[in-house]
Amino acid sequence: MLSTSRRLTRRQALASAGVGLSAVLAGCVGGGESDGLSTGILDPEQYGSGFAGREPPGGTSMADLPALSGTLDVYSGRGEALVRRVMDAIRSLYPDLTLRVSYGSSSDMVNKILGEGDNSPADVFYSVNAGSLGALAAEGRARELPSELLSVVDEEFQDPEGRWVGTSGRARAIAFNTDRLAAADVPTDIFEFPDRPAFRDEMAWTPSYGSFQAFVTAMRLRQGRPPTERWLRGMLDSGVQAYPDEFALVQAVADGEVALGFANHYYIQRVLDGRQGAPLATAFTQGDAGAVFNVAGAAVTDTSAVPETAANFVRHLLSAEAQEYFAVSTYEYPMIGGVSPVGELPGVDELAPPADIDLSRLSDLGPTIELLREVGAL
Amino acid sequence: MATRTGILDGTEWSEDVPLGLLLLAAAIAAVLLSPLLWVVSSALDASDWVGLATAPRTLSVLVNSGLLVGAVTSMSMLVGVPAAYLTVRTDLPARRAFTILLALPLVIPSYIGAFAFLSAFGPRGLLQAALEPVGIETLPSIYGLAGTTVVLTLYTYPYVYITSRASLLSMDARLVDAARTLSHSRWAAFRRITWPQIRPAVAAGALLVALYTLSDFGTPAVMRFDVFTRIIFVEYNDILGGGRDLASLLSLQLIAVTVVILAVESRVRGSGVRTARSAPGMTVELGRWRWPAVLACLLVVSLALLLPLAILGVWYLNGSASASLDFRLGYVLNSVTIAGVAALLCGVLALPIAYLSSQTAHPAAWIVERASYVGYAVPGVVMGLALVFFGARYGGVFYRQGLILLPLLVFAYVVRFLPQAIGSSRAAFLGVSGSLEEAARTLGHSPGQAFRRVTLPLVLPGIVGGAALVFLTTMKELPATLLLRPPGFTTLVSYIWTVQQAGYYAQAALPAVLLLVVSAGSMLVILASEQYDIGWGRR
Amino acid sequence: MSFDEQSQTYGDTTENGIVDQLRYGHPERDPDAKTLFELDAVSKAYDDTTVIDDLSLEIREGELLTLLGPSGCGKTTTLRLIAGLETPSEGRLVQDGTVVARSEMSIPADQRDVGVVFQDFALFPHLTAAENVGFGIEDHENRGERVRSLLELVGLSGLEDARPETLSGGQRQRVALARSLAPAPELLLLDEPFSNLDVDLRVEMREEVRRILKETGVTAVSVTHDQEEAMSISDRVAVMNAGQLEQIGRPEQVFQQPESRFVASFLGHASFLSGTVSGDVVTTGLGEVPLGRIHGLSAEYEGSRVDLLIRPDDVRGARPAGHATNGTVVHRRYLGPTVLYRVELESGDMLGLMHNHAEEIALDAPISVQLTADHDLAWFPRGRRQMADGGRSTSPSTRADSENGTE
Repeated sequence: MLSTSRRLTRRQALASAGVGLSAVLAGCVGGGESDGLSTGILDPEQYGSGFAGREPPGGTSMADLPALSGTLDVYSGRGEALVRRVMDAIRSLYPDLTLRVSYGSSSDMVNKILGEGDNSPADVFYSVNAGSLGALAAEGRARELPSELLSVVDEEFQDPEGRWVGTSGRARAIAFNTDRLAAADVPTDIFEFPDRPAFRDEMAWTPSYGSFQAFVTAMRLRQGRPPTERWLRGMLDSGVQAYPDEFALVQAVADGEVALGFANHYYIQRVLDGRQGAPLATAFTQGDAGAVFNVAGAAVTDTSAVPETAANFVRHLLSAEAQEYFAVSTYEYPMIGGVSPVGELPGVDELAPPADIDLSRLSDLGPTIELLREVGAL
Repeated sequence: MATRTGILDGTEWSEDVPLGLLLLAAAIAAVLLSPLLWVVSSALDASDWVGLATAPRTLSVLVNSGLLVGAVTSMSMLVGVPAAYLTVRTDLPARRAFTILLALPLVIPSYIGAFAFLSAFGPRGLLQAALEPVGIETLPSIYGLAGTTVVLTLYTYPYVYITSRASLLSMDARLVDAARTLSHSRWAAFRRITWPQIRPAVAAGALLVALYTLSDFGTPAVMRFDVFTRIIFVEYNDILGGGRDLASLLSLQLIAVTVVILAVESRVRGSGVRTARSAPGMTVELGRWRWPAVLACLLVVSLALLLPLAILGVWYLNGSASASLDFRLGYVLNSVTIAGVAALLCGVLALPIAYLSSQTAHPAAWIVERASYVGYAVPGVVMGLALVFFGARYGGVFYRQGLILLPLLVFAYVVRFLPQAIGSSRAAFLGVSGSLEEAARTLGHSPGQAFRRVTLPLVLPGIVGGAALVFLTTMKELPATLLLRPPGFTTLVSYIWTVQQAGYYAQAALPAVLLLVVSAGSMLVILASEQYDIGWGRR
Repeated sequence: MSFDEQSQTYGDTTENGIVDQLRYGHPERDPDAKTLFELDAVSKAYDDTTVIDDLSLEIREGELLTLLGPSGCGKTTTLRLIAGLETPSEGRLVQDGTVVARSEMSIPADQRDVGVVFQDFALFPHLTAAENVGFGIEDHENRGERVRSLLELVGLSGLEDARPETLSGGQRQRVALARSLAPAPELLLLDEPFSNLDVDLRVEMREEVRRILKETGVTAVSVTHDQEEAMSISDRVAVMNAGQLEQIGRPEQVFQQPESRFVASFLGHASFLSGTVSGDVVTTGLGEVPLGRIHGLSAEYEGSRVDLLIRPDDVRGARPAGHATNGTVVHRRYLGPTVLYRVELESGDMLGLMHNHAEEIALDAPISVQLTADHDLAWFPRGRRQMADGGRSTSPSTRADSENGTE
């Protein structure tokens, strides 16, 4: 850990640490290049040539945020592979901070917090989906976040009562093969897909995948069960192919096995990143379940002994560096205005997710799974 | 002090109970059962638990679980007993190699095994890809009861295999030869002579299979069969929908089913009286059954061992890796340390219960022994959450500081896996002739001295074997580990899980192989311990 | 109850001529014999089953006493009570004047000065022969020397480092014996010590064991169901049946003067010759037997109907000369050197008769039986007749008697 001399002023120390932070976030082991900007965090070699020349991220830099110190316990439902860099960056920035992160599945973490009751050590719950955040809040275990923090993120990506906030998002999207389809050929209405004769035997989905099930749940919540059932049956009649996971699905689209498939947007970016020049592009439906936008986010527990530090930590997740990291390394949608998503994706405000969806209800997968089984999709 | 007529008489058990021993064993069992209080109380706290308990879905889960347990137990006996017979009694080629290989599938965690099976035989698996050029588009579905049964059988039959082997080895096989000379066919000799002798051991192994099946989550999840564990998992994830209530209720039902199974096995097992002397009989010549037997063994070994290893190879070659999650050998050390501690604790804690159970058939001793088995059937996630609850409630600042998480985790392992040590130790105690202890008594040794100088050295191999079994299952345990491990404490399985979650399969391959290798080491210890014929010393 | 000087027994006769089965083992006419161990009205019951019933027994210093009886008679339990491996339900056990066990209380085996040789030898499989033998020796310094000398005593020098599994049955028994002698116990108990040996080894081993015991001078109690073994090596034999002591005494005493039909039947073949006391003879199917040749039968019993105990070698059979037949051969059993005939006398008695193998008497042939015993015969009040090997007579008089008689 860096042990900065106390003779430096706080600001100086943080500034110098900020550079180090960038280096860490850039994953420069053994001195890769930043592109010279103090908040530049991209190492083109790490993330592919397509990301060279990104605009420096807007938003508040970590260096400008209040310092973190003391001990903080984070229960993370997000995988260690994804978030360790951010955690390490924060650790290296704040030598006085002891940051303890426990990893597990989001619902395991919620159950753990609930089981621990008053004696829970958790200060922050960092979740991969809004459902778990909503569940924690519904059980009364999430503390209202400072309004200053909440103001950074759009209303639709946070709890109506301010008990959790989204930190990055993922959009349901259509992956399509550009050799087979033009962008205009892809419908913007999800309900049109089963009816297109050209799509017969050319579509793919992943009925066992959580995000897909969340999408079907959104459809069910908005339209009701019968139209959802009709859509599912229509898709099956249309010869839709099932894949075990969406990464494989998108690769199959890129390979031309099928013309289009439903996937989280970032899988498409991942495949594109790995295969330069693949005939693969992203499309979105407009304003319906097919465009549902789910967020990963964070909450501060009601039993936290250091709620201010915890909220501050969450604020760090919404910093310029962290948001840029999410955008660039996990291809997610950043939540703050100053950072744009990678690739040629529309910005988050250009997307048209369905407006009347309570994101936390997307985790109610039970009836969805039953429906999928009933129609024979699962 | 209770007295007991020698086991060789095959006669009465003492009705006296050594009170101190009973209290100690009961205390251990009570501590083991304590986490389950949480299950009971949360289940009964559930709103409308009656309605939930009798809902059609709950009943169908119960039926499914019952079917699965029945199917896997039967199938594992059908695989394990012949395998034991082949490797102990016959002239099977490459017998030594098969002895070890047939035991090894136990080291493979179910989630890897199921995944391997799916990758090979699933709708988009290797087999389908291989057959597609030939025009076969779809394979028969492996999902559901059939697939789950096959996969679970492949990875649990070693329990039956190991105990059957031990029993066959310690049997007086000359009885079989005698039967054969009395014009019994081989099958009739087996049915009338061998089977009654090994039946208790087979039952003991089958019990472990049944309880493991109840508790396993990975396989039914991958193979999509709705049994207790899978639905408990789904319901725990459905927090908003009030799923935790149903999850607790299902856990309680699972415990009830466990109790039933324990009662049934106890009847089948009997009092565990064994023959006086072990002796090898004539080796059975397989003749024209030789190569079919070899093929059958190879088939089992291939499906259970080679397939997952092949899949790990595929992961390694085709999977992706991330730069950020390096594997450290320290993770292996972590795994081995806590597994070792758990094994050691189980070896010690099993002693009072196993000894008590082997000495008397008093109902109190029976209850204590059976009660200690319940933890084995409890799914890891339930056990983890129960201990989280208790740890936080009673651990005070120690829990908040994370200081008792590792002890809690080790405790979870002990609660779940102690029965394996008990079964093995109990069998060892039963195998020690009662007259040996009495002889020591008549030579001026107090009960404690006699135990220490005579009984203990003779049962030590069995105890070590049981502890090794605990080590092996602890190494591969996942759900409780994930819930209870302190922040920053990474084990082999938690690392594998982490990289798998992120899709970096190539990074998971080598640690998985490492896990298998270390576990295989403990399997060798288990096999070595059975070679010690406790009647007359080392073979 | 009256004491009969001659038979040294307490006996009682009821009107029907039944002798009270209550017996007291009485010390030999050797007032210097010291009692080492005593069982005093000991009973042992498991749940509802009484295994030993009111047993009283004295063990004398230096003797080799054998408890003899069929399976289930309680002899092993008696041994275990003496050893301290069981606790009596009632009664007392006294060793050297100290009460070592009483109802529901017992000094445990490790605190008694008693050694045991188990039926299965119970050698510790994880220890060598020397380690086995030295197991009970507390004196560390001299242990090696003592072990060596003990192994020499039992004839196993050189096998110190052998493990039990490599030893033969006879060798194991010697180790077991040496081991139990090692702590120099006051009393040594042997539980069917030879039953696990091959038959041809048994004779040799029991002589050997007796030699060793006498050489060490230890008092020993052996338990067996093999009456030949009991008779051949014991100083005294105690015959047990159904948890009770039938008779105790020197082997020849017990054999020739059995005090109950059970004892008579258990030790060798026994047949009963019915007769009536008349004057100074007993009239029987074999002629008149003078009262003087019958042990303990005095003129007071005038008119009583009695059964005389006849062993197969007490009678001789011959081809009848002329009409002097008194029986018919109904069964013959070839035994090798001799043949055992079962003869039904004209009087209805069934007798077992030993005859040499050279001269063969055919089945159903008439035979002339003579009483040739050169020792006093034992007698019993008339009762149900039964040969020791199960043959039953079918004469009407027997049936009538069995209605009256009880055993």
